[in-house]
Amino acid sequence: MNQTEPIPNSSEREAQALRDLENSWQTPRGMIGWLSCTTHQAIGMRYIVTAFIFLLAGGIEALLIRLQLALPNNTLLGPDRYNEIFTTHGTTMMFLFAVPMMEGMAVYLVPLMLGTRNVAFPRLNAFGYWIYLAGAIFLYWGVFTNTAPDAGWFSYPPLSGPAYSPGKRVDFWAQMITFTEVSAMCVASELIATIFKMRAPGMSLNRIPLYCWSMLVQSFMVIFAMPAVMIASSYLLSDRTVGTHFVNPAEGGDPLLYQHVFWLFGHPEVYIIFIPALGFVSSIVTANSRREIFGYPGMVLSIVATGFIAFGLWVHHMFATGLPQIGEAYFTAASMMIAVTSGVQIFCWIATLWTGRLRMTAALHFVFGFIAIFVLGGLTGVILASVSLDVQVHDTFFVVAHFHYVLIGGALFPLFGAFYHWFPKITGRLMNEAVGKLNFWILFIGFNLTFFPMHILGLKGMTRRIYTYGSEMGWELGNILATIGAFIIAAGGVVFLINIFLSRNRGEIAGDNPWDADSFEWAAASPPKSYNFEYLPVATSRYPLWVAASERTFVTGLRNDRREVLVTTLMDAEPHHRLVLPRSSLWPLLTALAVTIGFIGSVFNAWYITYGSILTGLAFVGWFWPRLPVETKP
Amino acid sequence: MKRDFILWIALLGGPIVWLISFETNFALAPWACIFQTKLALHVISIVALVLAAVSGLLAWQEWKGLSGEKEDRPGGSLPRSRSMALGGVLMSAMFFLVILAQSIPAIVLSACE
Repeated sequence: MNQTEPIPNSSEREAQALRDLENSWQTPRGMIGWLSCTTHQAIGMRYIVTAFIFLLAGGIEALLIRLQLALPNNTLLGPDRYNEIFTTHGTTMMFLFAVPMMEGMAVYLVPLMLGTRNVAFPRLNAFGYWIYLAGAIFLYWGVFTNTAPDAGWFSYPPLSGPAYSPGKRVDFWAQMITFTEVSAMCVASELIATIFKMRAPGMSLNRIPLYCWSMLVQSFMVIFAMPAVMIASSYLLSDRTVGTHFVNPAEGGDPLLYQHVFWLFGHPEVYIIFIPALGFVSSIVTANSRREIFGYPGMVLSIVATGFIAFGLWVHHMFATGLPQIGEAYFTAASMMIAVTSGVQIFCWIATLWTGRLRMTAALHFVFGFIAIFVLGGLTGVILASVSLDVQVHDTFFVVAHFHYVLIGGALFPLFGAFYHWFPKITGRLMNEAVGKLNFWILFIGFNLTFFPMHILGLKGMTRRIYTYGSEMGWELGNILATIGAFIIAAGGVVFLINIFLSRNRGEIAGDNPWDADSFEWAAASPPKSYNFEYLPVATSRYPLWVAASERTFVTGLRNDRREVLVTTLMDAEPHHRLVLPRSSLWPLLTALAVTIGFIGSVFNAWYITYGSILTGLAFVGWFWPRLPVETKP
Repeated sequence: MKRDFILWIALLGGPIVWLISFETNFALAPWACIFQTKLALHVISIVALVLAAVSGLLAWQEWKGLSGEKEDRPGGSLPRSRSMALGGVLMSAMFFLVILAQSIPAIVLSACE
């Protein structure tokens, strides 16, 4: 292969090569084709659409919570139903919306940004999606059959143990965790391999787009954090189903062990959701400031340092458990130091915006909203890092306000910005900018009206997870404001959906690069072809599309009659070898079904672990059955 | 190859030293009360500070060495190596500060608080 040849002139041979490329990368038609698809665009979109449906479900649950709390002594929901709804809301948002949405965006965008044609393990990618879908359906099967979990999204024992939570509610929750975490680890491993080994030639470590750096760090965090929560939920599940004694105090187990293991995942989880959003912000800021990002090395190092320090914060969720003060103080220190890495990024974005030629798009509005809200959430985070202050507001609405400022401000606002920014790439049409800005202001006002009063409510002593309160508490004003705000947020969501549907059908045609942005995804067609690029691009700069067109070069020499991609070296992205990616296959779906039988069955009968393992083994035989390397048919 | 290895050590040395020292200190905190001495906590912090500083110095040395070198071909590894070396200096400095911040509790708090 040669990475410096210009694109050959168009000819019949070229046309034939293009037809071969389309044939080898296309997905078979029909239902079987849809089920066996392994292209990253299709899988990414499935994640995005499914996760968005669960955002809507979690949003409806949030509205029910707010309606119940709007007035004192309200009887709209009883205490048991309220427990189910707030547990399902938290679980849905954390496990079925936030992480899968970020994974889906990455599955769609990362190969395009790196200048390649798919992720490194396309079948694993499809398997991850099916497993996620199975876990999500499993949880909501429980919700609609009066088996919704009701012990909070982190299900602390002993409340969640067999003595205080009989029945199957908590078991559904615990096993849903296993599904979604397996899915997240599938995506993480394939993204790490893709970012390390499938970058465009020339895209050395110091030229990787910041979004891809974010996903690289996030993926490593997933690999280290997710096993912890799977262990925690497995402790709980086995205590409940087969009578082990890990975390059940009635049998000599240690509930604090559960908290440690859960939060060893739980705090990095916040950053697993938030770090991809930092990548969105960097891409949007760069494109709309029309200049290179200020302090690229500092930005990369901040992301990496955040990824490390995030694993040193978990005990700040456990300050009220009576651990030694010296031990707690280590976490106070780390919690305060992580503000430094976040601060470096905030200042770099401000410097970029300050010195750029701003184009005030809807996406950039969401970035400004993110900066304002996230900084406020960060400030209350520093307050909660202090043991003495944290103990005062522990388990109050102050904490609820804090984490919604961090998660909605830190992840949802950038995500909406990302929707506006990449919608033209995904659909080929621009979203309506005026409606987008209206969408931003409705969400921004609604968000602050909902969550700012919760700080005051928390300071006034309103504990989280109570289903009602007396009128003598003086909490009416804050609660009614929060409820009004929640409905304004819902109105913002409706505006967004209307904009999506109208723009999808009638939006202005976008072209390949409507924002004159810098990274490779904007060199692909809008929407991208199944093979992304006719010729894989070569990165001659950190901002490859801002290099003069005459200086851009492309990879030639890859075969078009099979799914061939270029593997490059880890450090400097020099061409190393050609890799043939597998064709579409039903085996990921069948394997996911086998795993699902094992996981769901084991909630009711432990022998299903054996049955599921045998079925999964058989499915793996089909999955890995050797085939000829040359594949001319999809 | 050897340079790349040193650059990775310089880049990741600080955070790895921090992670090990922090986890060890947290695990030893209850024992400090039982044995009525914080010596182990202080020793671990000091050793970690020294190692983070060494990692930073290693990175600094590499960075100075690389600053004097000239690119032998366009698209070569020199800019990337310089970035990693500079990254090593900054990462080591950052995690030196984190370790320093985490060494303060053992100084100001008594072993059994």
